[in-house]
Amino acid sequence: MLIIEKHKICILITVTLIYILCFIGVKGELVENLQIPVGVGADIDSANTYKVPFLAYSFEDDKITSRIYNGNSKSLGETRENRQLKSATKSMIGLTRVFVFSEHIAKFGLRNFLDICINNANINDRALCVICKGTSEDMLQYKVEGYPNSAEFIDGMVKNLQEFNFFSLQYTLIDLLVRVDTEGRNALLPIVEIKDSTIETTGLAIFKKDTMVGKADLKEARIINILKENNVKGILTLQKDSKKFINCYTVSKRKMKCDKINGKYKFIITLDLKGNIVSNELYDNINNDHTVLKKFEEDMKIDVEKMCNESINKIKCEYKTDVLDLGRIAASKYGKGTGTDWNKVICDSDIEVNVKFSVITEGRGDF
Amino acid sequence: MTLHGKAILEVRKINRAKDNLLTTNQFTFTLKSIMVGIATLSIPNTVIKVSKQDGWISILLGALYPLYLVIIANFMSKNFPKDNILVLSKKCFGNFIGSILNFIFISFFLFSLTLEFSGYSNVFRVYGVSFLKNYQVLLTALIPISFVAYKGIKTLGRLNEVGFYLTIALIVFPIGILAYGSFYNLMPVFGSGLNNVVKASKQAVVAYSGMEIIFLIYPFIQDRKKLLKCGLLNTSIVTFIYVWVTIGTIYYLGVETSQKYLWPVITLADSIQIPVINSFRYIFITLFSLVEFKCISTFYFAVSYGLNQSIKKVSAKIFTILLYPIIIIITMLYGNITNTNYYAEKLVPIYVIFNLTYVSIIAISIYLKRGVNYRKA
Amino acid sequence: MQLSNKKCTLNDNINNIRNLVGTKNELVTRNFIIGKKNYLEAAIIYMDGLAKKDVIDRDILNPLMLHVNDDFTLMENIEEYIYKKYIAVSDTYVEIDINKVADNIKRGKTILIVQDSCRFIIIDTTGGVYRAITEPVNEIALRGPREGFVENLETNISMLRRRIKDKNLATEKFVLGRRSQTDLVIMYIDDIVDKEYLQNIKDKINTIDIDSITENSILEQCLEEHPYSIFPQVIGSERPEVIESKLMEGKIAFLLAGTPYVTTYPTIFIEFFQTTEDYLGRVIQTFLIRMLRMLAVFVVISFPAIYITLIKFNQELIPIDYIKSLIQARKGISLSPFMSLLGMQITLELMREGGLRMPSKIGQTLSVVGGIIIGDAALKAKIVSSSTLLIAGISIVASFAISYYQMSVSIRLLVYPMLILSNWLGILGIVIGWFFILAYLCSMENFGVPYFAFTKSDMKDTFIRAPIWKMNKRPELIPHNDPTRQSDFRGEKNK
Repeated sequence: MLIIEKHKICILITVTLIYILCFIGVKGELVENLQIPVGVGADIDSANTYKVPFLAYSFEDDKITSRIYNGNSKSLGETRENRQLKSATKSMIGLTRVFVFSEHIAKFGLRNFLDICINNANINDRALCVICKGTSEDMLQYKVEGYPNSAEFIDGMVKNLQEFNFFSLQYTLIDLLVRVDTEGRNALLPIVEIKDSTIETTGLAIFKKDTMVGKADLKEARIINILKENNVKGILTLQKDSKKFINCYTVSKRKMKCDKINGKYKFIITLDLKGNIVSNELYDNINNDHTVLKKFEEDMKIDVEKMCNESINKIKCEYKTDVLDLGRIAASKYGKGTGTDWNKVICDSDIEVNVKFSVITEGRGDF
Repeated sequence: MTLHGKAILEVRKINRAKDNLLTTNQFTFTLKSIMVGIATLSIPNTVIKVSKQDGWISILLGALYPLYLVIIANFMSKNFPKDNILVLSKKCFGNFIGSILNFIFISFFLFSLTLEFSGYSNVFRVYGVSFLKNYQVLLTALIPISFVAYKGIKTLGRLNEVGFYLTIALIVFPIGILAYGSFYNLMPVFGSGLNNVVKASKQAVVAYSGMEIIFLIYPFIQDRKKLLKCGLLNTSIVTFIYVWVTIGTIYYLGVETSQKYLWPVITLADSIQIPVINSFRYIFITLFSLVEFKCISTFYFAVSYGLNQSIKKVSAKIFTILLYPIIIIITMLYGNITNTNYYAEKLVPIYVIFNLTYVSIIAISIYLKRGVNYRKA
Repeated sequence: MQLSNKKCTLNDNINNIRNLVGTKNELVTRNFIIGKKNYLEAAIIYMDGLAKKDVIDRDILNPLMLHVNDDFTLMENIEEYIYKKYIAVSDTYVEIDINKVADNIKRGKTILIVQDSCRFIIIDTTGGVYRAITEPVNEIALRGPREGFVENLETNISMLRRRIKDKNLATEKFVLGRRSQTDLVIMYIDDIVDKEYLQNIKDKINTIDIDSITENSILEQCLEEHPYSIFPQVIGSERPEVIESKLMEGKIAFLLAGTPYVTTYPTIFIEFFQTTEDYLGRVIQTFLIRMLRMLAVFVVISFPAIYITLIKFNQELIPIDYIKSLIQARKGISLSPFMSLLGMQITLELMREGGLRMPSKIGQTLSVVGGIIIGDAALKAKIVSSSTLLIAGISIVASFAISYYQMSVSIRLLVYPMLILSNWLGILGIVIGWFFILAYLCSMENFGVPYFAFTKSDMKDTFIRAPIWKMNKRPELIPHNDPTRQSDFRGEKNK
């Protein structure tokens, strides 16, 4: 041991040498020399070539603009190589806000794309995913007034979808990854399109596993959302004609129950709606008369129940998938991994919707 | 002896830092640090593969293994408080066979060390430092680790005590995921059948390996009566950590998705959003690396101390320095994670069975020869 | 009366003493006569400047020269008789060893030699001018006493004795330094301190063989077990109440003549983060402030390193909302972030070091010029980016929050290897750096007392400060013999 003590300097020098040796060849690129992909698109053309455009910032003297870098190749990973050939800066993955999938690739299947996302550790798992009409490159290149680029606009728009229309914030990449393969669950993504010289959300894309099998327009999307999601907000209306209607800003909480009767599944969805009256011209004296309020609540309840029950029978078999994630409830009660095809089972099952509606606030007053 | 006098004696015992004894806290945390290693990151996958959403029950069952070891160690400590298992095995099996068995026992620690280290290097190169090569990570990281092992058991004990609180932070933070997952992922409980649960618990036992160090270091504990309590406390802490991690993964990711990841626990950390930093991953990786370094340095100490006890002529410090290149070479041989896992799955179960039988035979022979003055040349 | 002993003549004695003390100094010899009939020749010897002349004149020469009427012819033990009857000075005794006599002269005492006597009377007339007791400049406390230690050893001891009237407060004296022969007094409370530890320290002190010991730090460096360590291992203070509370925990205080800075042994890491104000303030405030100090340590060491790894290696972890402004700030910067951070740190250190010794008026100009103008100019010249400057500034400012100056210097020094490691190895570098620091701290031990350890019972005073009436036990890490400090007088049982 004394030898070791005497040669402490020796050990110190060896250690320093080891560290210096390990330093050789280490290269890191500074952040200002990188190509930051704010938005990433995915598309596939008729010749089965993957097209992955990157929307990256470019900084010129106090002005921040963005430009598209295209990568085309027969396989997803090689698009990186192709893209680097056209870039002045080092291409990187990560710091993405939005993934824009075109309808083509959604119908073709997103599995490869999701696979490359899981594999790469730098990907931002909380980026939002949307389906776009047309090509993703057009969507990313579109210049929206007041925003540096369309990706930031879409990012803000999807994040704020949850304010109305009963949308929920479940459209991140990790949500998509979890829902694609989990037993009894299916993914839904918002569809955006360029309409009236702006970008607008026009519906929901229904997925079966990783392929898109249907599109729901906004009316149907609202019903799907209110039945599927918990703790969502939106406006419910009772309208008699263009002058007499009542709007209610509702918060909806949903409970599910599942029973198996004679081999057939029965689902009971209970919606607990709590409304804030936004505008009222239909009912007179609703603020002061107790019975009018009760009648309104009853009317609303019946109306929502009718709306839901009518649509359910259409929804449950139209897309041939379990849109409402009911399979998950059943699996958690009756066993997972049993090989049941929940999509078929749901189509054969009974779904009943019960609604409870109550008014919480009535605003300032009634005109 | 007056009460005052007794108090003086007890105080004297506590303050003797120069004796190489560990306090109860340090002992518990040393044991805990050697068990919570790289397996924490991928344990959900091992059990989910077989028992699906009841993986956490398998892990609870797997805790029987360290419990058993604690009880045996307590029994040995009562009879031979000053002799660690290497000395006892020589007494039991005779010098020659005892030494060979001792070497196999010590080689278990060496093997576990290289597995952990290689696993750690793989994780870190994927999630943190993708620009570094394998040898760069190994060479640089092993230096502070060997420094700790060089300084001896007291430093190790203190470091583990201080570092325990880091582990707490690591485990507490992911509470945020409770807001996002759902209970449906965990139900139905016992849905996968008792058979599968038991089968998976055999895999879970692998994650608890490392407890064998209690046989080497129980002579170091200050207060021998507390050995059982330390061991039980330690087992419950480790079990709690593993169960919490598994439940969190199943709750948040679900059974199918979690199997897609090699290390699902880090995905949990990724999902927590802290306002200023993008994701929790940076903090998680740093804290976890510190925890992992402690684990590896405890293994390192076990190897060098064990070798020192077998070959008394060479001191533990020299062994620490000699082992450095050996560990680097063996770890580099593993390569990527698939190879590492392949060797782990093949060899660790064999080692576990060997350890169980080795320890049990020695315990039984002590029990039988109790009372007889047992000496073998 | 034996006067036949020829070798103890007055002149011989005086010459011997003069040789021992040194020939080239201000030694004063005053011969005089004691008595009227059958008088005695006597002489006093003292060192000019060290002895109080008015005491000598009034209490020694006056009575001996003018008021002695005895007849000394038949007397035995003349020395004892003289000093017991005529010398009106306290602390007088008879000494036989001439070496001790020389030592005493150097400390300001007066020696009275009677003719033909081999024994010397030593009279305490220590004087000299010392600094008055004022509040120490470097350690200000808002609510504490305004006393501070001075250079005079007796005054220091008296200050501690005034505060601790326990009969077990013990002092032990050592003389250190071949040429300086400085007095060292160690003080401890006898039934609290750990005897084995005390013996260790005393043995170690006795082995010191050095020319001169000017300050307590020199002593500390001679005694400590890790001389090359970056962390200070001994804490001290100039305030008596701080030393008093440390003595109460079972520590040993070292008081060295000639320096107002008193050190205590053993010292543990957490003490460098505790100040007097902590104990005089409220519990919650102290908790927050202590947390702030811990945070400051972390910030100082890690912030620059984390910044470099984020910029250079792990860009995907930068917050998305911040990335645009970050890149804009960094566009066109000529130096790499490592170089610019290093440059900024060194510049700030230069400014700090310069400001330390400036007269206060120039110091203000320095801070304005340095801080504002240089920082701004560096930004405009695109040598550094604004975020780099911010990080460097935060790191330096945080280091001022560390209460003990030596510790803040040590921690500031740790930034540089951490920067280098993170620049080379990214996150792995930071992890290796922190692990190494922790491991190094854990491995330090001073005479058996661990430097960096936390025990559960000590937690009442480590990160939080429990109310004073709750701290019933002394800290476990310091070896002591008496664990109970106070009874649970405010607890539930006594309500």
